Amino acid sequence: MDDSRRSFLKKAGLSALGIGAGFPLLRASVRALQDESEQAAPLSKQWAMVIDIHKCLQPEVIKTCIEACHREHNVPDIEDPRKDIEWIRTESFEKVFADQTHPHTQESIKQLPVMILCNHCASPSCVRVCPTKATWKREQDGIVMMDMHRCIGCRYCIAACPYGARSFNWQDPRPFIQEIRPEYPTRTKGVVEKCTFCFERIAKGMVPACVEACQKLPQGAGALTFGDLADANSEVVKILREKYTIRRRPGLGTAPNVFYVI
Amino acid sequence: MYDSGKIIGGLVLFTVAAAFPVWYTHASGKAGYQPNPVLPEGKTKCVESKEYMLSEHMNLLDEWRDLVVREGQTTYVSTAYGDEYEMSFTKTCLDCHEKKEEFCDKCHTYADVTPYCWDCHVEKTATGRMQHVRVGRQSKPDMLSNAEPSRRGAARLEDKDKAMTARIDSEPSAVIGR
Ligand code: HEC
Ligand code: HEC
Ligand code: HEC
Repeated sequence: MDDSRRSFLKKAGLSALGIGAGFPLLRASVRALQDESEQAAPLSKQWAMVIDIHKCLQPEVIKTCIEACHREHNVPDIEDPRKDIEWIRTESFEKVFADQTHPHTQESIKQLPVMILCNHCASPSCVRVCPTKATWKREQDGIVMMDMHRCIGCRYCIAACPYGARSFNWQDPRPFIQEIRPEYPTRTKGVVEKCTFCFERIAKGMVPACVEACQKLPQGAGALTFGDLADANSEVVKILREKYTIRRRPGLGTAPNVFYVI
Repeated sequence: MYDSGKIIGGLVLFTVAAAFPVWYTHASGKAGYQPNPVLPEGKTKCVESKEYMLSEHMNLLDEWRDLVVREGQTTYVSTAYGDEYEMSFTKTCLDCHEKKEEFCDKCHTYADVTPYCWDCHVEKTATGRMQHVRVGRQSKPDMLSNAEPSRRGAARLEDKDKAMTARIDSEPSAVIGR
């Protein structure tokens, strides 16, 4: 009798321990699964851009896009490349698509200029590291936004972004802006900035400044296309359906929303 | 009582001296000093009632900022008058209150607050545009030709760590927590 009572108590104690330890573990794993499915859940709206590499080869088109963006947002023009601020720029094919080239890729292809900007990723690594939520993914339209008022200049996001899309203000940018557009604020020393997909223009139903500028050029039609990825009838979805497109560094799992027609 | 004259005289002197800040400001007419910000001509009302603006304008601006930047909204409907305004620091507030020195600064100097908004938000000038002397380069580098693609920012992509180190080395004073 004593013996069985003792073993009963032992078993009861052990099961209580098992339940106590098991539940939190179970809950944690369920939550982890939920987190992942949340990330994968498509937003009701996701702004995206398609860049046609062939149509963006002409210096005239490249120059017009970059200048339109940088004028629109008071982006300074600083000679020292380590301190320069850029929202949109070009880089050689070889560097932009390092994982798509190999030692025998044609030299001429390696050297092609490719337009690059913030990818407004579906799972942005910059957002994960920002300690103040100064950069975050807007749920209403999928833009990876910058709140300049909250940025403390820690530059974690610069280190986290695998695309070099962000720039840090090492100095007061105002002296380096040729003509300040009062409608858009400048930035100060100590904040990080990047392309915001022209959130302020989109709010008024316009397309981003770079897209508008190159559409106006005769040779720039279709070079950059902007639209809602969640809308099956949008121009970007149409192009993605019809043409072969690639994204930058797909292996990282950030899921960029800037696509390239090659 | 010994030396009562001296004590009373001393007390009177002390009181007068201690009350110096009080009677001096009254005597010099500074007691009634008010910052008197210059209101915009030809405009009759602000976004909200005068009383509300006086006490809450900084909160209103914070609200606008969050609505625009974080919520993606653009228009504000005045609760007092029902008018619609674009929520913008420069395009709305400074459109009516054109002269910062005559308006915002008057009060802020008086109250000893220094909002830093103007470090980034641009004041409108008479021409509506600010001109700056150009310090940067004169012409764009040859980043745009096919033969010689961009070297600008190449460091950033080529070797991120190296670039970061270079940046940090170039401005050690600005490094946080290194
Ligand atoms: C349509 C023009 C207009 C706009 C836009 C406007 N104001 Fe005003 N503001 C006025 C006028 C006119 C008054 C005087 C109101 C009165 O006497 O009832 C005033 C009064 C004020 C006052 C009180 C000053 C005083 O001494 O009475 C403050 C503070 C103020 N505005 C701040 C702002 C801020 C901040 C914004 C932007 C959010 C703004 N205003 C936008 C026209 C404007
Ligand atoms: C009638 C006087 C008055 C006028 C006019 C006025 N302000 Fe102010 N403002 C104040 C006072 C007083 C404070 C400080 C309130 C406090 O500390 O609680 C303040 C604070 C602020 C703050 C918050 C500052 C901080 O450090 O928290 C902002 C932003 C601001 N004002 C913007 C403006 C702008 C923009 C204008 C001009 C369009 C303006 N104010 C015009 C009186 C004024
Ligand atoms: C570091 C630069 C910086 C400072 C300082 C700053 N802003 Fe801004 N502000 C911006 C930028 C850039 C935007 C555009 C949206 C974005 O990217 O955050 C903006 C947007 C806004 C907007 C909405 C859009 C518009 O056109 O006005 C408001 C309102 C605003 N800021 C208010 C303020 C107030 C009030 C202060 C001072 C307390 C302030 N800001 C200080 C950079 C700044």
